[in-house]
Amino acid sequence: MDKAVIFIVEGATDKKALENIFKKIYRHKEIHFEFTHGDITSDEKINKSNVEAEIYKFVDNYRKDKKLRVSDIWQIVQIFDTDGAYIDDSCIVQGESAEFVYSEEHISCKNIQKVKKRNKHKKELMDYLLTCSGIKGIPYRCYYLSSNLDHALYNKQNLSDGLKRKYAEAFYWQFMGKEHLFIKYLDMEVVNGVPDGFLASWRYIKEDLHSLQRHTNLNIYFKENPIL
Amino acid sequence: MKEKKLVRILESELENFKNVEYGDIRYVNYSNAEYRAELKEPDINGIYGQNGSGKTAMIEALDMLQRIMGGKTISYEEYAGMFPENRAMKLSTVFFIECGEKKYKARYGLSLKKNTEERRIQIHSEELVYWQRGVSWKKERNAFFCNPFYDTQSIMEDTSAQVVSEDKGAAGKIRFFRSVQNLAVFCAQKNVSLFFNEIFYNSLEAEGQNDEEMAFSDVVKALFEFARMRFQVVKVNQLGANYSNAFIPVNIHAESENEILQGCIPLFMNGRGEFTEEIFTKLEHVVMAINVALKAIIPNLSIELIKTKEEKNKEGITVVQAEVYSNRDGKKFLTKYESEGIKRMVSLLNYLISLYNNPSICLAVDELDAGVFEYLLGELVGVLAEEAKGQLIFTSHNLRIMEKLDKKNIICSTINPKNRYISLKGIEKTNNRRDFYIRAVVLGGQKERLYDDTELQDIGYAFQKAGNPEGNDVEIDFSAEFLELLKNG
Repeated sequence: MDKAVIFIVEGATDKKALENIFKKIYRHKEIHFEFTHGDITSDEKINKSNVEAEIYKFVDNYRKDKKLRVSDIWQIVQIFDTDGAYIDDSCIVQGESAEFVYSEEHISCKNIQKVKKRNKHKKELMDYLLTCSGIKGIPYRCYYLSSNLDHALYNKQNLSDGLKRKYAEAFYWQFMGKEHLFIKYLDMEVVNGVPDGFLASWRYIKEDLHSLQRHTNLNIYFKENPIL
Repeated sequence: MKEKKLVRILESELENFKNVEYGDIRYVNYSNAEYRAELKEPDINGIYGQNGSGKTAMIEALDMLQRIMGGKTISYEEYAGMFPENRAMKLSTVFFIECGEKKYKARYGLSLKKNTEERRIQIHSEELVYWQRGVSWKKERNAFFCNPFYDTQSIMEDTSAQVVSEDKGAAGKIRFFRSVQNLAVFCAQKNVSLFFNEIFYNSLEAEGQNDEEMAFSDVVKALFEFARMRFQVVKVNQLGANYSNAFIPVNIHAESENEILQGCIPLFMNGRGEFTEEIFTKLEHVVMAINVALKAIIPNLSIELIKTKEEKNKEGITVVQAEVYSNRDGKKFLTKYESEGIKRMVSLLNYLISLYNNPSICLAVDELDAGVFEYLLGELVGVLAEEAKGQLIFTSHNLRIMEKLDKKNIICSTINPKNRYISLKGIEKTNNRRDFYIRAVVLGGQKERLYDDTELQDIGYAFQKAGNPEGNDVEIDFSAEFLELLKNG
């Protein structure tokens, strides 16, 4: 009997871009993507004490829908957008928009405090989850796309929702039938100097402006979970 | 006085038909009959599975079996497209038979071919193997026949047609095998079975039969009568006629001391319905029975058959014209305005009633769940699974029914064309069968894969792409080096 792997990503379009690629690569696992609308790391009510329970809610919804047992779930994999969460506060600059605007050097916003607060919260949660090896007995591991999925995979920042969708579609179309090349793509164009070790890769992203730059450690997932 | 007869289908084995390369179903009572020569349990068999996994193929195979054993021809128009090219389709069916005190097990194997030139489905060869029950099953008897006269040349050349048996001693005693020459020519012309046709059946009535002849004629007569009178196959296209709103095909089995009415009577819904007086009277009884059951299912609904005209036709037989009305709380309207689900109920109810009460009835239905409210369907099947005396073989997509059935009643079709049917393994008493099935669909873990979604995953993308053939005006900014890889990958 197969085992299920649940990937947790932030947005619906992230699921669109990645789900089928993972499903095709891991044919002998039941791959499922849940998306959180980003609210795991931006919802202020979620903190270290309840974040695992929140993540488990996504797992349990899926589990119940497909009538699976907890033991049927092999692992939970969370893929974060780093969103520049680890940059120094000095790189958060005054801007004109109420929205957060990202570049490879800055995050700008009308309300600087809002960005600082978000970064602190997001950092805290990611740091906490990085040390977490299991949720309710199911192995858990988290990876990142920096500064977010669009930046990492399409080299675009600040995309509107409409464009996010178009890029996600275009991205998958490119890989349709050649899904295995996705791993190569990460190595060639997205990793950009992130060290190979899991912990080292996280140490790296926390340094300097790395969490605003184009990086990922998702390539490590494929190394740690060889394709059968 | 006629002996009480009972026939039950125990196993269906299918080869080279539609999308089934090989498939084998053993029905609920297979082991009971095989090991103890008895039928113990309600014989309700639900076939479940993904679209295109061979559920309907089995019902269609049963339909062909019913026709061939009933001495009829297989319609070329209907079935030719489902046959393989230049190869035989094979269907082997195991039966349990009771004839008064005597019990038999029989396997009827058919090898069918389509002849594209003559536009006929031909019975290339047929084999009847049977065992009589003593303390255990006695030595097998067999009769094999391959009709040489499909090739008209062989009629000219005076080829001899012979029933062949491995046990020459026993077969030698069976006089029915001796003079099949003319019959074989007839069968080749009509594309009917040698063992199952009216002429052969009548010859089996001969007086002074020895034991070997007796056993053979018991088996053949039981199967022929079963196919003609107690075995009904309802395919989806029967409902097609229903959907066209012309009539409700009422599947009927009505048995009295002297006669049996069996078949499917078109109950016209537009006033054109014409019946002989005799059939009309029977139909009235059938409608009455349907109404008794219908009341329990849809409380305020009954069906009325209203005579609109009565006249003598050219042959001097009284012919009745009738219309079918629905009566809902006293409001009458033509039944053709009823929903498909209700028409389906009306269509099947009489046969289901017979099946419930009569152990020698077998009904095979494709898409039992079509248009019927799932809760209601669940209740109906639940009742049948507890108490039905006859046999029901059905296909369904509705998973609610699964919760009402035991695992032995559930057959799953698989994605492997070489092994199309399996039963679920590993269900415990406390497991909800529906949940168990969904889990097996998702994670596998059965002998064969039940579902394949690797291609289906692309469906959303395929829809988008179909709607935007030009692409969606954004391009991913790959490096030249990677683009090269993508092109060649």
